[in-house]
Amino acid sequence: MKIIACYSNKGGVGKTATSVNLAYASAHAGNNTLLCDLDPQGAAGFYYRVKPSRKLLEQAFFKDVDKFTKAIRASDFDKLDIIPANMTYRDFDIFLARMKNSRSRLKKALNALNNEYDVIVLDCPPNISRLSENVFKVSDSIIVPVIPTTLSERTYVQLIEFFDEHKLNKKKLLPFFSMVQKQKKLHKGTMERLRKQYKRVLTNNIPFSTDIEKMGINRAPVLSYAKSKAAAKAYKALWQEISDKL
Amino acid sequence: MHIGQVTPYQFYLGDPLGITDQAFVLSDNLRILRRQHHTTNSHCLDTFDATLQLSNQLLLRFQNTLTLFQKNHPVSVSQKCPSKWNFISQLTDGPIKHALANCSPIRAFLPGNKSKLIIEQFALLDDDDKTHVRCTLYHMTIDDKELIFGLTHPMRGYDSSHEVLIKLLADKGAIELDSYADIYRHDGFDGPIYKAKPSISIDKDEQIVETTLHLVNSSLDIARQNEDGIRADYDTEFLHDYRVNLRKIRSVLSLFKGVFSPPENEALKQAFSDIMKQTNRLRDLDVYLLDKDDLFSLLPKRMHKGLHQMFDAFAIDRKRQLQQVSKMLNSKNYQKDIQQLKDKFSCSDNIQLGPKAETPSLLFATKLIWKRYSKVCQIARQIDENTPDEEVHQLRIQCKKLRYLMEFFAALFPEKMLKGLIKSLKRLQDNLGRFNDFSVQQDSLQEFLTSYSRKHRNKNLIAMAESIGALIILLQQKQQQERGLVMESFAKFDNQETRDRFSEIFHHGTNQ
Repeated sequence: MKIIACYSNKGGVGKTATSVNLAYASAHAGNNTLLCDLDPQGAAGFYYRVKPSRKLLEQAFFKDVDKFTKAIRASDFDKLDIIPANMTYRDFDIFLARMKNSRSRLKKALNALNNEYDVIVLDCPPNISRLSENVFKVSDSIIVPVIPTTLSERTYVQLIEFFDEHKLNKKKLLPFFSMVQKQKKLHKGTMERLRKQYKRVLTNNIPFSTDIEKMGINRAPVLSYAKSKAAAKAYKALWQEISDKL
Repeated sequence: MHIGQVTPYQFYLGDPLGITDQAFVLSDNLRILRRQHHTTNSHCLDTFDATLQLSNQLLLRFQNTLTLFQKNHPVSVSQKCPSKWNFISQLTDGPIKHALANCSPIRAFLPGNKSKLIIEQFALLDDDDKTHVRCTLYHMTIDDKELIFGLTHPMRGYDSSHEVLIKLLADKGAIELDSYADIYRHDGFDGPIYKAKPSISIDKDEQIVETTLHLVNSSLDIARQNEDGIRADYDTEFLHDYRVNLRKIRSVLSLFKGVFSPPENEALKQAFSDIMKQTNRLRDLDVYLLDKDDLFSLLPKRMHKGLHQMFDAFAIDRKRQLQQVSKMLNSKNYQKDIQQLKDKFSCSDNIQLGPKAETPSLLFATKLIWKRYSKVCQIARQIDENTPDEEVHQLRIQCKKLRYLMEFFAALFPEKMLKGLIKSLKRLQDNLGRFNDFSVQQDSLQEFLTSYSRKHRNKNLIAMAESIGALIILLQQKQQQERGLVMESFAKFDNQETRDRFSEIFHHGTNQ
């Protein structure tokens, strides 16, 4: 089982769209995938039309295996399940650790029913907190959308500093350029510079696209309703690149 | 299957659901509508021995798609198949090939009648257009007779909506599907199910002559049920089962001494032998062709050319042999002979009886089995590394006879005990069987080469001789390996527990 976190310490960078489409691409590639919506503002669940569950407000949620498994909802797409948002994050780190620990009751519960998730995608809230620190520790990869502007570049630098300060494994960070507008000189220049500076930046970019914006109206991943469009192809390629690195 | 998922519901429906693309409102926030529907031609598939029906599975084909339904694992799986499809080996890797991995690879899947199939897909949606549960209905129509069955597809986390759907279906008259028998019957699989080894009830006090007639009649019926399949050449198991049953009859005739008068017995044995003889060559060729892949894998690629030529020759010969066997089965002579045999065995009045005809069956059986078991042990205990192969062949033949006897009279003995003994005997037989197969293969390859070289003098001959020569050496090695295992196999069979059991069941507790 691989845990992939989508994280950005800055809002409005296309993070939730990334989680939603990567989870779809993962499932489409044949992986049993669970998308965890941890960002109350992001509403990954909204894009899959899954209503937030009242049960999730309870604090002991992640301690209780049954409550957790009952909160999982099938999406309308094969092999893709969702845990909708509106949860409190206490104990989430414990929960994640249990998911990875083969002796834990949670892992056993998943195994017993013959359904281990191959991939878990976390849509993380955009701040640096104890939660995010724990997510960084437990995740196999941290996907970071970066808009190729000076401001975004600064927040990425801050993230690296945070990793250094807390002695976290920087190799997990997989930044990629999001909402790219190739005709903009600033974007082009920033991308060239950052690629030279950070070898870990992924090759595939996600373009700025009205097709992605339409996700709010269609309430579905771009890959499902516009699969032949450039944006959808870009997400697919991005997933392929990430999955090769896992 | 997702964790915590409720079991899908499979059902028969008397009448169509009557729900179309126009949504049917179920509650404030739930509605059901038909998402898709299409019409196609379809048929069910099963093997001659009803592998799928007996294991509660249904295989449906429409166009080039196979769909498998399983009662115990109620999620349908689908996979593409070639336009001409009969055997599992002809499928690419996929969910159906995987699900049917336990089915015999040499048994053909045969189609039922062609039917018109309408497939409808329904979805239960909420006010956000999120799907909560799906449902598929299959309408099969043959000659204006319609049969409807369906399957729900529950989705994780929406259990209560699944309940709503089941209630709706119940209101529409759905009843839970407990087997696929109705569907198979609807599609023309309406005869009794073929059983290669039916359990035969025997009364221990009944005269052995009556039991013998019973056994022979049963085998004769089973053999004859395979005739159509041999003619149609669906798969090689038809001829195999046909011959197994005729051989059983011959074994009965030669092993049950004194039941019929000696001249009568000889004449009957000859009659069955004459029939079987005409199918020998076809069965040999079937066996070679079934072993084809194994033989190819023994040799390096550069030597395959010679083998291809040999197998091409086999394939041509097989075609001719099949024609001859079909002709034989269709012939008036055969029909007349087999009917005469059938009449003969219909009543003991038609047969000249021997001195032991009136012996009670149990007494007859135990004596016979004990004698044969003692014979097996006697031969086997004398076998060491230096014993000629001929003796090993003798052991194989005696084991086979012992196995037949135990199977004939299975109904007279405690099932569990007998099964255990047969199982330990089978392990020994498998070893001896492989020893024999490798030996027969060498002989037949040599024989083929000799006869081919007499008829054909061409440049292909050298390549073929090289390939066959290499194969014979390899098979000889394999045969020697099996030969080396015989003593060990028998030692495993000849343990104290097995001896005690044989003695207890067949020798009434007295010691050897």
